Amino acid sequence: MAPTLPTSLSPHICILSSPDVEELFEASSLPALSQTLQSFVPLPQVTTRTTSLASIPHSSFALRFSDLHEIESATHEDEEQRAGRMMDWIGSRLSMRAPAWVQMLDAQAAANQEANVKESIWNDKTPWWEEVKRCVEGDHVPSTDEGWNHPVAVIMAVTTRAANPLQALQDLNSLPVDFPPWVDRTYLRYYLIIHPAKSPLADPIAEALFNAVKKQYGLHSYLLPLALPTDPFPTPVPVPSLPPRLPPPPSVTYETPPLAPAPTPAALSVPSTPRLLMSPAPRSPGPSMLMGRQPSASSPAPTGGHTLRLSEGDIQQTGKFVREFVVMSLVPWMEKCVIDWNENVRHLGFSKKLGLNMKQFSSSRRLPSRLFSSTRRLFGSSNVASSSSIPATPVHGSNPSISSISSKVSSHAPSNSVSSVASVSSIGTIGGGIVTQQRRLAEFATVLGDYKLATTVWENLRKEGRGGSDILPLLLSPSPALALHVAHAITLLHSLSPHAYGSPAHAQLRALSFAVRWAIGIDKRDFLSAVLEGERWLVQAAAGVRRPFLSEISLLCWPMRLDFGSKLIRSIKAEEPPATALLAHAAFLSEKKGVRRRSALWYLSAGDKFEKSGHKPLAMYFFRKAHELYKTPHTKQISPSFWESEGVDHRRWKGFESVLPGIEHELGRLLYTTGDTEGAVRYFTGLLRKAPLAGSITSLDLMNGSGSTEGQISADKVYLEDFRVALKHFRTTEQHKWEASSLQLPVMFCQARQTRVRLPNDITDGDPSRWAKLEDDWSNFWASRGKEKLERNCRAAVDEHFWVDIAMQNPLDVEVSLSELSVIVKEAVADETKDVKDIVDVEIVDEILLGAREMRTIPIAIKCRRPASLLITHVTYSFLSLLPAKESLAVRGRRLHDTPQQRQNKAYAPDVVIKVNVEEAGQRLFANFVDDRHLVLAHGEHKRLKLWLSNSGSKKISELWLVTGTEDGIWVNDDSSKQDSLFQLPQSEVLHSHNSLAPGEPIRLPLTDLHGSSELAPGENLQFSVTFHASQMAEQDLCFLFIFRESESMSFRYARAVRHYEVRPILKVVAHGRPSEALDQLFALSMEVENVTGFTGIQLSQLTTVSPMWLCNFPAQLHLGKVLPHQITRLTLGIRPWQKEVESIKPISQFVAQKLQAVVQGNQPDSTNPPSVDLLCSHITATNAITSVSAPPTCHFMHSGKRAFAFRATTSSHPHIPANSLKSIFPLYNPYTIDIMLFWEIPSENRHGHILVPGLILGASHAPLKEILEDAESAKVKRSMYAETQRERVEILKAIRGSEWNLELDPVVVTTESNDIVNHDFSIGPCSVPVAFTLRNYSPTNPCRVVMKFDSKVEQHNGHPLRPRFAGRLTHRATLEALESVIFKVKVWVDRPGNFVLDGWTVETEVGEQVDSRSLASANVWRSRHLHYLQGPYPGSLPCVTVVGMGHSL
Amino acid sequence: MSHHLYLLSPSDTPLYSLTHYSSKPAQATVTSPLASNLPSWSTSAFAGTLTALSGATSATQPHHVQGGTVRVGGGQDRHVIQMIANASLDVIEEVVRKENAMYLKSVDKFNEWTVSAFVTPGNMKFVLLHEARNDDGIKAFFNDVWELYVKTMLNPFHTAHTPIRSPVFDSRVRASAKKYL
Repeated sequence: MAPTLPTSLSPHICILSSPDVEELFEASSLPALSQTLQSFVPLPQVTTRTTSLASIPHSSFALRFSDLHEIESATHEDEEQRAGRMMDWIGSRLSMRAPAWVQMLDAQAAANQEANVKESIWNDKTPWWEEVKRCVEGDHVPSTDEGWNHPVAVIMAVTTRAANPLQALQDLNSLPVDFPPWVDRTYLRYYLIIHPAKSPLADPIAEALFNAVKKQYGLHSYLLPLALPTDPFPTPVPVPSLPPRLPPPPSVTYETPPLAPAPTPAALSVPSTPRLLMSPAPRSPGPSMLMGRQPSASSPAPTGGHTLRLSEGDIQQTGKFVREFVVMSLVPWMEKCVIDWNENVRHLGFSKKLGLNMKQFSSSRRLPSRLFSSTRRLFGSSNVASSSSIPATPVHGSNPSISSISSKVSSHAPSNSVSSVASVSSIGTIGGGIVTQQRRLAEFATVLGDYKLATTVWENLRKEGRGGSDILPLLLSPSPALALHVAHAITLLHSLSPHAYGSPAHAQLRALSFAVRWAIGIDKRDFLSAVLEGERWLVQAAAGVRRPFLSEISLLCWPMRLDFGSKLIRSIKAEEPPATALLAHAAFLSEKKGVRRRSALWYLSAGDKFEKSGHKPLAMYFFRKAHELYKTPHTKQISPSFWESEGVDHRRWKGFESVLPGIEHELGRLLYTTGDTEGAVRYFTGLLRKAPLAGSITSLDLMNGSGSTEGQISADKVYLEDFRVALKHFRTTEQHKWEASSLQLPVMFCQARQTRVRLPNDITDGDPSRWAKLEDDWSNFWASRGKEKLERNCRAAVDEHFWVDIAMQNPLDVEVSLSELSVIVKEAVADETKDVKDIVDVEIVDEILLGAREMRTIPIAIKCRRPASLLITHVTYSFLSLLPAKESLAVRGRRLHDTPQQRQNKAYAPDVVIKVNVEEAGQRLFANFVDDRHLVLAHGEHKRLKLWLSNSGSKKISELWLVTGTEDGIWVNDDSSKQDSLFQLPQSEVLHSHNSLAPGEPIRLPLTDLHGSSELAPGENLQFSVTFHASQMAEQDLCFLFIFRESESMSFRYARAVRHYEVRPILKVVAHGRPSEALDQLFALSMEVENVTGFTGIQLSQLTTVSPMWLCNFPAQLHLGKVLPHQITRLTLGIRPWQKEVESIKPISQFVAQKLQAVVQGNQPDSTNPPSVDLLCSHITATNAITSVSAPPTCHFMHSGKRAFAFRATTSSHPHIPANSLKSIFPLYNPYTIDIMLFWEIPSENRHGHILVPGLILGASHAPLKEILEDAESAKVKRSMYAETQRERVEILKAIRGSEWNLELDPVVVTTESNDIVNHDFSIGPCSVPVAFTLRNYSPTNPCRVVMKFDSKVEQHNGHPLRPRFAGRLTHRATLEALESVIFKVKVWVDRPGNFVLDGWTVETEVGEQVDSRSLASANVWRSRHLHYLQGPYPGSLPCVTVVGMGHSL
Repeated sequence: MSHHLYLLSPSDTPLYSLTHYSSKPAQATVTSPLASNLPSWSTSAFAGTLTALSGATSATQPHHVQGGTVRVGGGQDRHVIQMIANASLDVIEEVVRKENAMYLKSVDKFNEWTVSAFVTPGNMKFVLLHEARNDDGIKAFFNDVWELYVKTMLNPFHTAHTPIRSPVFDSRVRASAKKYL
């Protein structure tokens, strides 16, 4: 199918009319002749011929008429300047009409939405594009780059009203044509005589005149008789509108080009906006329509649209003229030119032997004679036949050579057209431009529809780099190659510019006109198809010409090319809007094509450019389009179950996080600058969104170590600042709108889930977990005693402050201020809420500043004046002190799972609102420490602390408990315990201990003793003291939980008291035991007491050892006294077994063995308590006064200290045994332990205390759990499927094996006894020295067998001490009962004097089973426990014998 | 010269993004003569003017100084870059329908930005905006990112919609970008 060419590619015909023609038309209220004639095109049904004489029917043949003088003057304007003006002009037209267009489109869109109508005239086109298209298409001024606008014919018109029409025609003909040299002068001359009805010449005379003209000027002449309208004018007839044309340049200066279009004649009314009625590129109607239509007088004149007031006869006449002109003269002439030039080029090609085969331009067949005859008929016989290059003799006027050379002014004299063709062709180029004859050939062929020829010529031109790429896409069928042509055309524009910034406006204009031609000339379906992707061409054209940066321009301007630079800046500004319209159109086409995301990008880009060039309505429209397109979710070709499996709602798609804010910010700014503050504020409000989480994409990007991100501020900051400014302006200037707008803040500051009510009783100091543990302790304690619950303090009291701790988090990445922060309180009365301003006082916080993403808790105090149930529903504040905001404090209820319906769909319980019950204060207790200063204690100090309790409620308190931490040593003093110290007591005493690890229980405060009454009445106070033992070095809180109630069987309430304290070390005590060398005692216990402070006054007042088995002997010389600063006092104590209690070991060991057996077998041990034990306490004091450990406070502290230590040690060594079952597995005292209590005092400061050194184990035991563990290991194990269980089991076994209850030691200790120095006279022979070895069984329970062997061989080593030889019996055997000892006496032979080391012996030990002393039968039965040991001399402490030689040495 | 990488879920939700500034010199000749400079998107003098108008003394906004020479890094220009990545999805989807390859080289072009893409079998899209041509490097880079992504996906708590916030992933992608881009 033949393409429909754009109008701008149609023949351009200039009209040179005599003054009388203009007068005539003016008198008849008609537009100028050219405009009148323009109304009659395009012509329907025109047939042209190709070079091969094939007919080509044109359903519509376009022509362009214009005034020659206009063209002449326009061609003399600088091309670049004109292009700049053109761009400015188009831009100004756009900007003038844009507001109306946008309004119209918006209204239409709204109407369509309401009526749900899809059809609209603007569905397929956009007004700005139509406008740009018309403006570009209307350009009719010849250009140096292409020949489309070069005139094809000049019609010289006179009327018969002229004084001498013939002379007038002659004048016109001889008038010089003022074209620049580059304008092609190959055009047809045509002569028109208009014969109006009121002409002075009669019709026959006019006829005669016409004949004369025909004779003189040839067949290209016409007599046009017209009636011409007179008053009353005939009914206006609608005609196609004229394309808008660039107004001529103002003569004075080009700096301010006129923006208004040229004034239009009276009969040609120009509508303000283009409508559908006047198709901008008319193709169908034309004169035929005009002729065929008879508008009735009654019908109203067509509204909008161009009209022509011509009578029917005149219309017919003029139409006939135009048709004859085209069919009889113009087309044959053009065909002739094409044939001639084609031949010519062929010959030229042959003669020049060009590499290219020019033959292709010509039809290989000979021209048929029919053509010759017809052309001869038309062009006269003189030189038609000559198709050669011989110049013919001109009949009239100037020498053809003149017209062919570059003379600026040439005559209108009728050089024969064909001869001028010949002369031009001989030169080959027409002028200074690039419009060559070859190009004209291509253009003519294109106009005539000979696309085959045209394509080949254009192709050739393209190969030579002289254009053609822009036209080829119009002529060729769609293929991917077209995109290359397009790219080439645009690249060429760029490269053709002589220098980088040579002709931006001109190149831009050309790119624009290319794009317009492509958009018009290519079928829309092809244009948008995937093959061509024409919308991309438009974008390429829009971006095709590089614009210089302003900085580069300033470089250019400096120092001398100022004028050039400023011109350039102007042209840059001018080039924007039309190119942007291309982008917008590309976006529009993409949208229609369904490529919405790309369309959004181009709309955004177009909007941005329009904004910069100041076209705000259009910019806003495009931004809105981009916004809308981006937001509309794209239908994805993914499985619907994708969304389901991801648990995401596909409607809540979130794309790139910066896109929407970016567009909305632009929109907001535009709205603000155009005065729509409310709209701007609304957009800015939308921008305040929750910033993405820290560590996410944005911040990662910003972290990237490149310098370019420095100095950037967060987008939030910009948005917030804009929001603040706009909001402030809105609020101050448009008060009534502000009130009606009811703006909502889109972000939430309040974290409702973290908001809490805090009542005055809830002391929040101290570790919350400790408080929780104290409450748990109480619950556990009370669970076995009663069912009364501990009530939470969830009620506030009348006339007492309570607080709502509001958690406020700033979601934005910028600091914000909130003022007037408060909460809304309502009273819940029978399912409804009511305002309670009269009874509730709510605090208002003036202002808080929240940093970026900062979270803070703000307490708001509330006081209620009567009992009520209060709902705290909302938090209110003023954002930036401007925008009042309200956020709900209700949190979503729990997820419901009760019914299948609820389980399958998400269902939640009703929202939970913070509720506070305010009641008359009934049961209330305030507890405080009397002294609230920071407490610094010495390690082990006994500190009296005073507490003050006050019943602030309205009811009495009759039961009061104190719960303290299990590790805190607290003793409640009463009057009886005041004399707890300084008894005169024996040096040892026996304490009975229940031996349980169970923690201490809450203490019931004896109100009668403390207060003197059994109850604490309302308003009464109570003061009492406790003694606190600072047993652990730490800095922590002392937490007291007071549990109280009114009377039996009522529920409990609580009060808290907390005090911070710090414990510092004063004494460092290290103790260790070793086997004693003295036979009367078993062990020697060494203690080192170091004063680690600078105090001089620390005095050791008493030393007490506590043990179930060991008795301590204090040496007589032991003296306790002062420990000087940083000095160490060493004490040595002797330990021997407390014979009475050795037997008591057994039940304890059996208890542990039995419980642990259950543990290793994986059973739950029963909850029996360990057997009680008697503890022997031995004292030594500095004075005679002894602090009795049986005194309750001391006993309590001793027990609690020991318990804390034992519990810690056990939990850490048996992590897999639950802590609450430890008390039924392990006893408190290991029978082998000995604990030391060291009492100290600082008399000058009246301080005293004690330090407990627990956990010293003495004596040998023999793996009492060996059998149990072996059984457990060898038992057939049920393997658990869980590796963790198996691993845990192994760890439990390992822990038990290594525990203090399974110790294993060689029970035998060897001590050597001999005379240290022996004098001997070696002259009488060797010396025999007796040595006694004492072997003692340190096992308090088991017997053992020993074998001691002495080595008789002596190996002497040089440099080592001498060794003696043992003599006599070398092997000794014995059986030792528990704690028994034996002495082996041996002799050593010494044959010379010296110092001899007594090594060379070994002791083998075998431990026997414990013997039950009660069964005599088994008394002598030896049963081995299968524990064998071998020992030799200790390398560290070898006994020596020194033998001194005497007398006989002389 | 900068690169912008986006990892998009099958529903085109961005899960990860990276801006990489290459130290390698830009190949000046490669850039198409058609490429106009990216318009300086952020010539907004708005906040500044408004502040001046309202008489507030607080903020001299440095943000409108950017643009021109300072290319995209964040703030105002970010949305345009993201818009380009978003627009390229149209073509990517079309190409994926026709071709089997995972690596779609230079699938689209917007001004000076060339868009390369990589579509995993799980329909994850990796989109890279770059200026110079570097097919081999980009392919290797994409393969690295894919491997890292697969490792991230091994986490049973990671679904196709979970934004990738793993610092390990991030640092490895950066290292790979440094190596290949």
